[in-house]
Amino acid sequence: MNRPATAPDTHDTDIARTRLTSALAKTWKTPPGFWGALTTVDHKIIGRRYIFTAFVFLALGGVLAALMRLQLAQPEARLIGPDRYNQIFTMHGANMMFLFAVPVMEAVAVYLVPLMVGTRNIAFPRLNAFSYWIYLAGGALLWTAFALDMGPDVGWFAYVPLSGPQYGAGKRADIWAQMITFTELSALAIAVELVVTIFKQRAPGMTLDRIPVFVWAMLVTSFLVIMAMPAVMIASTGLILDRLVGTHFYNPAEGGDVLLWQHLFWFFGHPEVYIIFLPAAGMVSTMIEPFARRPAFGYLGLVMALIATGILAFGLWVHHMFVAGLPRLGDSFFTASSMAIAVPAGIQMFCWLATLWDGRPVFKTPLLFIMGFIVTFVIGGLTGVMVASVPFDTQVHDTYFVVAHFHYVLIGGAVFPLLGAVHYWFPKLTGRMMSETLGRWSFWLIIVGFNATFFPMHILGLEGMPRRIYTYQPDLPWHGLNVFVSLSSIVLTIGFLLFFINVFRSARFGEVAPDNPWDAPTLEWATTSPPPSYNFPRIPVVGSLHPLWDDRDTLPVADGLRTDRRELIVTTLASAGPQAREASPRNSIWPLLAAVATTIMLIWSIFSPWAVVWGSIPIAVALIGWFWPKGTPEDES
Amino acid sequence: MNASRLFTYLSIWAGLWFAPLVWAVNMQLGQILPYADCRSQLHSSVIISFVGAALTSASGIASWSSPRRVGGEAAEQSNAHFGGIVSALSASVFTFALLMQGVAAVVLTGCEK
Repeated sequence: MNRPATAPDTHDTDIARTRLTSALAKTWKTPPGFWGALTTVDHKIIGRRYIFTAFVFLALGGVLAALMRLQLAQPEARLIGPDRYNQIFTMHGANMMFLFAVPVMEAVAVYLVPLMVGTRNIAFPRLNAFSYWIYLAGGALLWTAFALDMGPDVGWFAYVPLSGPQYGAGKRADIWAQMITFTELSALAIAVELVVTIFKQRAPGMTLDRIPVFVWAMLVTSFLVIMAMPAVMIASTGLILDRLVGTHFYNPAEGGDVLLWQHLFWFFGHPEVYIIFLPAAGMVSTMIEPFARRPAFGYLGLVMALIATGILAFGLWVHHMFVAGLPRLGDSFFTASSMAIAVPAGIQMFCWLATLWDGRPVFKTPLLFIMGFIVTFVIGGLTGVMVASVPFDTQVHDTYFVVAHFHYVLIGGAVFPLLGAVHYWFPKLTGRMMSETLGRWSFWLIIVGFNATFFPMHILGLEGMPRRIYTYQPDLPWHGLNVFVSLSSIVLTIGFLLFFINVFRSARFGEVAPDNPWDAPTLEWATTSPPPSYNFPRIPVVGSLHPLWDDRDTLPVADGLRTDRRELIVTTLASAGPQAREASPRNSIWPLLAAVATTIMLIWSIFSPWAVVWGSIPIAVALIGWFWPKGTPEDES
Repeated sequence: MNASRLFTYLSIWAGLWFAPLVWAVNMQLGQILPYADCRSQLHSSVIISFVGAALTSASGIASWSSPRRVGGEAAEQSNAHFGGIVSALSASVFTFALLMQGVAAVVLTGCEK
């Protein structure tokens, strides 16, 4: 719509900085108080909320792990009964995978990606708000069910027929299946937002070879989410239909197929590992630069490794099914792919080592966690190559060897970089530094506690201890190592406690952080710490991969955006040339109302198939309210 | 975009779309052909895997050599150069995977369960 000739000029060209920032703050602000908290669409507030919630779930999952270690510390312990133990290990796995690992990686991206690509908000910000509420509802459903002794007890991959109507009595398996719908819905929403943000909202000049590696990692991860997660949603929907409506997707007696579950689940389940690992690899590539005090070695190799890993991730799922009786030649193709994926992982390792080798490393806490990650992930990768071999996997399948392997990969490969990332980006989120002393203590306790806890599990597995047993007989040779593992887990727990204490203490009393405390080169450090609601007073223009190193004092900026409405620059896909000015939606209560309506429908549908029919009416009403024009300046777009 | 320009861009990115496509097709054939290989001892899995490896290598070479045909603005050339190298490197990973699959098919007959 054309602006009338007499209307005041509301563009940011030739306007004093103080007037500009005050106008932008008014346009982009989140109102204070409870209503503002419910209606906000600011990616930073939602990202922080997501990260906090995910860490709450990490702590809850950790409590379950501690309970399991307490139970296994002695043979024939009676602390936890078999039924509760089944719920506990299922809850631990499902919670850590679906409520912590995937959401926390996406949450970090929700906060950081718009800042790193130099835009003012994430694409589809209301969808972003909706995704958080849905995620919270899924987590609340799972934990409420557990508190009511209705927690799922079928393992985190809920194999049929154990989870089917024949053996899975009550609603426990349904709770698991519907929790999947909640968390996958929220993950898919974020994935779409990230893809559009990265493709269309990059700062002018940010060509493909100037995109930060973490942003590349999140782009690849988002495509993995979009392509992998529908498989498990289809699988879990089929399971609910089998249990509630009486279909026979997984019932061989009626023409169904039990192996269909395994194929569908692992077609999602193996890429899931890389959905968790690739963001962590991106974090490492980004964090290593300021601490090595040089650009990351082999940018092209790092990007190639992320993309190749993302694609190869879809050709590995059968290595979880080596004992399912498929032809050996077919299995060997998955062995080949499983070993081939070690090549891009190895390239990344060599790039990081070369960066450190040729740099002048400063061993602050984030770099310590990176070093811990490199060592631990290499061990996890080596045992990964071992279990990719059919004869070896056949021997150790469903033993503690596999438990040790995937904890090395997931904690070493994702949690260590994440903890480093928390220390690294904490000043950006809070404006305060974390304590180095507490950081170093927590690092050493976690690295020692982790290895002492999980390395002996390899030996327990080789000695034949199966996973998921709630107790064992005293005459079996597992007692000594189990005691050692349980004692070591106390060290690990203290390390994590220290980390949480450091976070809460530093958020309140930490040293005030400058805008760019690490002298980092990426755009999120070009704004204040913490950033204002509009992220950047003027949109930066990028001339290199390391804009804050190469244009240290005179980062060029673009102008011409309106200040009286939420507006951002849309750029071309490859060259990031300015293409259009696009409005960004204002705060709204409708995402929350849509999430509440969706939650009611999904939980109700555990009990009645008619919930899908009647429950969709409030959802439709909420969506109409969501998209109805509100008479704001953004509607002009 | 004319046909020649389209072909150039498809060639630049071949290592990232054609090579994974060949590998994905071979993965699927790896689930289907063992039964036929066991019956006839044709070793079709071996032949297809190695032909696939040759094709992915060719796509890598195309990715590596095509960016120099791109003219236009500096940003466009820079993107083409970036895409060419990343695609060529990616093709080499898929070639390796296909070679490993071919070797596995040499060792096994398709009858093993």
